[in-house]
Amino acid sequence: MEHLFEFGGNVFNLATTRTDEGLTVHYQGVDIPVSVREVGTGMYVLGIEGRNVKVIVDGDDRTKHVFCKGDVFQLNKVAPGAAEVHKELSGDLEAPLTGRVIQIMASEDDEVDEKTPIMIIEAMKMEHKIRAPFKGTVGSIEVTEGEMVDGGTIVARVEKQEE
Amino acid sequence: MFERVLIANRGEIAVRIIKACQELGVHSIAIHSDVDAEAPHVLLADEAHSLGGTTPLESYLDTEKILGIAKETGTQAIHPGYGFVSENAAFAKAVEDAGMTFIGPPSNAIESMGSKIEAKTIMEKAGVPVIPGYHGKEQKVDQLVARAEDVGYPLMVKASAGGGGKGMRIVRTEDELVDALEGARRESESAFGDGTLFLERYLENPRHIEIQVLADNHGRTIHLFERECSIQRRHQKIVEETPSVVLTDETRAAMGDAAVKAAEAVGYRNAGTVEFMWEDGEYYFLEMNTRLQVEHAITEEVTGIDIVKWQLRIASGDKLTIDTETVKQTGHAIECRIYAEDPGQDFIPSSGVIQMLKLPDGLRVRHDSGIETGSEVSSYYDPMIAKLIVSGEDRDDAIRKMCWALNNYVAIGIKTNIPFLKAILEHPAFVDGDTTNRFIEKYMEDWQPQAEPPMEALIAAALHDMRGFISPAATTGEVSMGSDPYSPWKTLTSWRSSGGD
Repeated sequence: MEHLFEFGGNVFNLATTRTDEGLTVHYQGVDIPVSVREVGTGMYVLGIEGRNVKVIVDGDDRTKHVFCKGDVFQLNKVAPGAAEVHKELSGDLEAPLTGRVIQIMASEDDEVDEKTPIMIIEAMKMEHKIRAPFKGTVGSIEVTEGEMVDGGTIVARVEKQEE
Repeated sequence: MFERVLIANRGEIAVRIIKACQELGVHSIAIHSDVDAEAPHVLLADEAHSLGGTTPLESYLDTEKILGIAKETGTQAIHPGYGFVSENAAFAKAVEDAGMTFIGPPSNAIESMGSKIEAKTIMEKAGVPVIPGYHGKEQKVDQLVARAEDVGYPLMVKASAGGGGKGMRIVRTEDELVDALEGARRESESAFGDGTLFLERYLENPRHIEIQVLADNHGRTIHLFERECSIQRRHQKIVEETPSVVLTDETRAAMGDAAVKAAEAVGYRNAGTVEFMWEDGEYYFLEMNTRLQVEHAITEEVTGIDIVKWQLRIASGDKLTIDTETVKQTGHAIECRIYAEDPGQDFIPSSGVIQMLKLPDGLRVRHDSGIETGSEVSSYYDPMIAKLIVSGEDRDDAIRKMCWALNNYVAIGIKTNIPFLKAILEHPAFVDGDTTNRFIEKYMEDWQPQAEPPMEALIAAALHDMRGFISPAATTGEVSMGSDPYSPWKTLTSWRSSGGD
């Protein structure tokens, strides 16, 4: 079975086959036998090359939260074949979370570079800069200063400059 | 002691105060907003009342609603925690006027320390060292420009009512000054409704060292030594420790005396903190926080003194029965503040439901928390959700213990700053004690979270996707008991299986 997960903007791909002991995992060109024991809901002990590692996983069909070796990793499921599309950055800029627009620094038709700040949204006592994802032109600003916006609302659009 | 105390706060600090009340046999009364109806502090308290609303303004900052509930419930005293109404002099006054006790200093002490200019003037008079600068009445731009000549460059422009970095500018040369003054004034007027500014010599590489004080209502003020809180991100403390790595016994004693003097100069009562900047062996009064501090726990860990219980005792009229001579700093304590934020995305706050919380445990590992499995972290309140506190025999022991604890802290469902905290604690400069206010910009500027997940994490995610996966051991009914043939578990299993009932 093929599994694709996005993490930190990169897509990781592994394939699994069931065995008596657990799984054979095909990852980065190598087949690795892995013993699997479920020790509680979402808790597994994985045996790899004689060493046992405890992993904890929770989530839904889209996002998996995994605790492993002292860190939590948020892995987003990617449908097979969608990997390339997924990496394309969108010019539709969303509010990262619910908050208030406190300053708008760009206006429509402005030419912007990658990372040029477009506006500042204040939420949870902190300021968050919304930046252009790539070099291009500001297509529209969808909010006004002082406005409250919900997380996920599109606040501005940037049109990518064709190379 | 009081019989009924209302806790005007939420989150980890409300939980901390409710615990202290319950241990003292005091009936605790919680208040909460609509979103917090099932929050840990509400479920823990002996009694809870709704303020309604969601935003802080509609709930935990609504002093009229809070006072209304206090009166209806026969509250004798109100503990404000930190943040929210804790440094609101008008609220403290209203509590006093309503015949109840505000667990904190008298309202006039809050007022004096709320104005940074007034605080500095009082401290100068009391003989407490302050950072050289100008904190006088002349407020016109050209007057301040003239004063800046005497202060010298680089200097800081600060707002008298300021806090959290607002209304603050670093000025390196004279030609930047006018812009800085105007900008700081605008910011301060809009944030605090007060544009009064002052000038201060800029310290290049300072440390933030503060002294905990306790003052009773019978004229006694003592201190409980220092906390070093130099590791800050955007003016927010994130790692604190005690003792400080740089203080000599002489400076520690001198700063302790200065803090006691500072508290006495404003007629301070109850627990408070005098903050200093320290550089090259010199220390200067920065401000006084007239409330319980977030980081009070590390002082508790090295002194064995329960500061929150003493707050309740002092407010109810008890005399201090401890003093600085008999209290000792034993070992070394560190606190890490756990924030619900995404260190991979410029630390934006992360809201969501905590699907699972499994905490590190062991000797001298403490977790002060306002969250549990199933808690929702909302975007309405401060993203600091918990504090992890450890102490060890010495600093090295405490650092190792904190690294271990962070590595075994499982919080699933939201993003946290734990990877960033680990990187700080593991940094050689932290271990060496080069923990100045510039630490983050000097050593952590290029830090990036791990870019690649370990293969085991990907396998776990794949297993979650293949739900219904039953492990081979479980299907055959074999349960591994390890290799010890004399394990009591083996005996227990056979006894159980032969026993029947």
